[in-house]
Amino acid sequence: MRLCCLVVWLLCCGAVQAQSFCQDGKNEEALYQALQQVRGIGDADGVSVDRSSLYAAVFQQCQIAQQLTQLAGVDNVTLHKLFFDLNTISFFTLDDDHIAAMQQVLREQQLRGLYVVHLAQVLYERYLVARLFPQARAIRQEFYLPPLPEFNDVTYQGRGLLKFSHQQLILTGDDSEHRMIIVAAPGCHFSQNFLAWADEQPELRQWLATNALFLLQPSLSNDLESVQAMQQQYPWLTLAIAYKADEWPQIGRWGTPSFYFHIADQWQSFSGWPSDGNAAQFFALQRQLRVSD
Amino acid sequence: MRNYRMLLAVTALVSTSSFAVGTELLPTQLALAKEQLQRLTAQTTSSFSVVDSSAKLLLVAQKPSPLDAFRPAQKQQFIASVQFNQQHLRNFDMQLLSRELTPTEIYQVLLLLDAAEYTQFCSQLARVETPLDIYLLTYGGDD
Repeated sequence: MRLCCLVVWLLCCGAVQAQSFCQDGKNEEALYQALQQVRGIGDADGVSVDRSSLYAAVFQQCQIAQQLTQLAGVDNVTLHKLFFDLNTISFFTLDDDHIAAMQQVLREQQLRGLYVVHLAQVLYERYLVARLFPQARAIRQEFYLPPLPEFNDVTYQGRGLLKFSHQQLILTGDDSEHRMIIVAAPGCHFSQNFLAWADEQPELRQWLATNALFLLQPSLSNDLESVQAMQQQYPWLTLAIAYKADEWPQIGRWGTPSFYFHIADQWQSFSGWPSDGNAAQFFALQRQLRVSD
Repeated sequence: MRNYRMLLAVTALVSTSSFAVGTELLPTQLALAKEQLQRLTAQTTSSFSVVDSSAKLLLVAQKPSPLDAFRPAQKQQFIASVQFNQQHLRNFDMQLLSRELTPTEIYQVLLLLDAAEYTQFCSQLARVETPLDIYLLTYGGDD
């Protein structure tokens, strides 16, 4: 089974591993081409591409950190494009370093007296989604930006989960020992295919209701209306948005859908729900999980 | 949307430390920006008829036009991204517009495609250089 999982993992992560970026240069044009390359990668094999990993690879391979040390020599137009491209990267990765890089470029633009209020708004929203509240507050005050919900008035133990309660998202602490986690997204048709398949099977539906957490990644793309619609369509779902991605080390990839089974103190996983289904693999892992109880 | 416009406008007015061009859109600057916009609209619409097919777009692109605000490679890329469906604009690469052009340039390109109402949306991450850019970012181009 482990070999099987490894093969699936290799297939799913092949898109990340096979890509190399900025081989012909580390400048703005090469960065742009790399981003176009990622943009052109389509979903396949029933799993949405893990764009977070791809964009993180772009950041690393295009040596953006090194480019940031030479900002003084960059013209205004190129500087703006760098901010734009970093915005694309951090949208998908929500990585602290990538967001800090956006701020570094913004500061350089400010130093030059360029108009950046609208870019500060974008950075502020990114800080909030990444739950970097001190930075968010600082930039909001500096640019007089309108406050957005921060979910930060609750301290929690364990991992943070955003759950719906009375039409509102409430931040709660989560220290449960989850037996199964399904990483899904309302806008992912592969996730929807799985849900429709599961919904047709009363026994499975009941089992999932008791055992599975449907976890959405902390991303702007999970707009609240679509999350609510998903919950209303499938009321048996235990659905929550991860507060911070790094609180879930067992989630190796946030591509959707990904299925994680906690079997004998090990997490086993597979990804994807193609039209013909991964039902055999799903039931095999479900059986193992039941046996391990 | 109206509230958001107001917020952007207020933000532009109160934040004076971070930009050099048109440090505040004062009432006189607002009036001037409106006037410039009207002139620009008149100039563009009198020079170009609305592009409603790929064939017309290719013809326009062969002569000097607002599309020249793009670098040559990006100009070709943008043209390739524009799709029409029975003389209606169906799709175009918004990211490319926003990354490459200023709001004023975006406005002119979109005017060509009879889609000026998308100016504000496409300008949210654009490079801003003039008071007219700030005006378009704040109010859009369809007023």
